[in-house]
Amino acid sequence: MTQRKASLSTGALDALLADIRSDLWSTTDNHRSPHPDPDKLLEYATHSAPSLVGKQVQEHLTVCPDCSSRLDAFKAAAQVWEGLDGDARIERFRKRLHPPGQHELAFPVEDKPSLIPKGNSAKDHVIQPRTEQSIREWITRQILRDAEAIETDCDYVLPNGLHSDTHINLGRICRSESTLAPIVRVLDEMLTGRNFDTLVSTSWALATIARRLVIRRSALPSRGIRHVTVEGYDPPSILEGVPSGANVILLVDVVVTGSQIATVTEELKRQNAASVKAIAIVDADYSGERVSGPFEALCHVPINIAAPNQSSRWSDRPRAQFNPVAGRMTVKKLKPRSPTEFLEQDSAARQFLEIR
Amino acid sequence: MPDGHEREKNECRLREAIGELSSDAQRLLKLFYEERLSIREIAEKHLLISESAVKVRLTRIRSKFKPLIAAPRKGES
Repeated sequence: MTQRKASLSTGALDALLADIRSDLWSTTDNHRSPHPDPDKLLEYATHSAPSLVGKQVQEHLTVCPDCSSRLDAFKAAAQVWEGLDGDARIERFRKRLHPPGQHELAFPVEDKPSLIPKGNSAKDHVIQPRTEQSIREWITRQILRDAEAIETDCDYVLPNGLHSDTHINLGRICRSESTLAPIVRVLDEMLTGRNFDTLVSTSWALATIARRLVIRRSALPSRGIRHVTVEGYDPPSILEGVPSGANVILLVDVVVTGSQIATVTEELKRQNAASVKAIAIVDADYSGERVSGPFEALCHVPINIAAPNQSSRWSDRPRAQFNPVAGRMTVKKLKPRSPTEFLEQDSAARQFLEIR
Repeated sequence: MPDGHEREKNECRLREAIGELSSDAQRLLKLFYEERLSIREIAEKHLLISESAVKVRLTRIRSKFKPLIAAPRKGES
């Protein structure tokens, strides 16, 4: 057999040797791991593992909270994503789990330990709620991103006068049933097992979500959830009566200072609600003073906030304010326009007006 | 680190093994380890294949060499 002469220099051979050693390292390290590899865990979770492997994984799970947590995360994710291009997403997960040496489901957001509900056992407290919260957070952020609901084009003036660089436009989620369904499902999962009979929404977008949640829940034994809408900020106006002794879940879109939660809760209590628990779609992670009581959030989106008298880094953007007619942030014109000017500039409005 | 003798043996085995590789595989090793081109450069300018394909080929070549090299002990670089 003839051999071709290899022409690598000593330096190149050293580099190659180092890479081979590195490969060997990762391989031998994996073989030492007492944990089932991700593929085995996945097979176990999907009931496709051979019986012996399944038994080994099951035995390992009884003594390994880390792997139990990974398995719970996978199961919860699979359940929540059912019907939402679930197969494709799970396949992406499978690929993410596959690289050797990767032992964690890497959710891109950190948990907020203070928001983790407390369980009865040590395992409940440390593992199970943590993964559910992480998954909920990740999915909600994905929903917002997919719907392009996180807007950063303007200097947004909040109803409380503070300026923010980000606006969560939940209206974008309400454009179709297919974009609404995932957020309804996430909320439904979150409310499972909670004792409430009244759902209060604080914007038209949240009302759209709440109505679907009520319909979804009407199929459950604990039927009869009342939906109540709230309009405006100062003061908030509760459009339908809240029965005395009601256990209320209050839905808000974004919490900055929490003033909306505080004022609506006060009004609901004045109408003799027995309990009010607030759930926000987004916690803005505001570092200033919060006026509301505790609340839970589906996800956290860090939003930069500036006081009205402070010059913000984003003050050169066009300014947008809450428009009570549109029920969302709209860009405010620098000069007021006459109706004629408005119609000249807005062809859609003109067309609407001219319909005979 | 392996001692000088061990290192010399490894290099010798490796040179022999490289000589047994196909000319394409030798070329790839030369581009990556000798000429120190990036994966992207090799993919786009030389082999006209995807970056992933280049990575896969390099991994396969290295895996052929694994049996020739003594498994490292923890603490070795």
